[in-house]
Amino acid sequence: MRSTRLAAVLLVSLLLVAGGAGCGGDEGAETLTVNPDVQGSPQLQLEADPDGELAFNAEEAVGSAGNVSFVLENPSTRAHTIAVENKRGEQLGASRVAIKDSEFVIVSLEPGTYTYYCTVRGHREAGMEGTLTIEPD
Amino acid sequence: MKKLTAFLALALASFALVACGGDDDDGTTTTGSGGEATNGAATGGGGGGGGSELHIEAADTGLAFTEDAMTAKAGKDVALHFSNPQPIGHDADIEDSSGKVIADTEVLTEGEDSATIKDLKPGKYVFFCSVPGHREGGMEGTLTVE
Repeated sequence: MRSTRLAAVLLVSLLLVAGGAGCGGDEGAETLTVNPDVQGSPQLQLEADPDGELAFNAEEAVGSAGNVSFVLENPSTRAHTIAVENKRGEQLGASRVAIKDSEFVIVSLEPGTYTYYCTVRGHREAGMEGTLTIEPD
Repeated sequence: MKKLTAFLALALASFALVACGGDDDDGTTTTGSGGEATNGAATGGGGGGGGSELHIEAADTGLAFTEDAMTAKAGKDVALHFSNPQPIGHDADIEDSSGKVIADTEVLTEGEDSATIKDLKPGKYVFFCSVPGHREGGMEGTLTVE
């Protein structure tokens, strides 16, 4: 009797812990907006995972046509870049390598969809990419 | 024994809930950031005659300060306070219209530093981050001293 209740209590607590851990999965669903309230070009303010996981803080972003500065804030010690390509797969620009630093690249964008990604070998394939949609005026 | 188990279960459950709340916070803060960084005039206090203050803050994320235009009152021994919430190193320097640096704080992450401007004269100045590439990326603004 006592052991049954013990098992039940443990099972419930395990389920609660598992449920809590599941919350982290929502992060990828976030849509980032290009921020126009900065000096110079409006910025898409991307962050690399602080622990060196191969992920940006957002896989979806929206913005307006014109110059867009892709800023990558990389607090980790793992090297990353930020690059942009159009639908045809042509690279429009790439930043310098950032290690515990922020780097940026400014590209001129018309309405359409673009892909931003890390150019370090294997990183894009592992998940360091996202889609920026430039909306028509 | 039963009580202990129940207590442990509760402790684990509350830990799970707390961890969950933390993640939610992360999710919402990353988008906005620069929203408040409009051209608001951040004034140096300047109250009690001399010894006024100037506050410059890096934005929550990106290559930006929270303000891109500020005003201050002229004076002696003006304190420049810089704060940086980011895990990326930044500083705040101020140069006059001839390009001469009149104030320079330390490059730091998630912290604050101060510097003193001995004699802040009326005129136009530029404040910027001196970490290579950051000023070009957008970390600069104008300071008007009256």
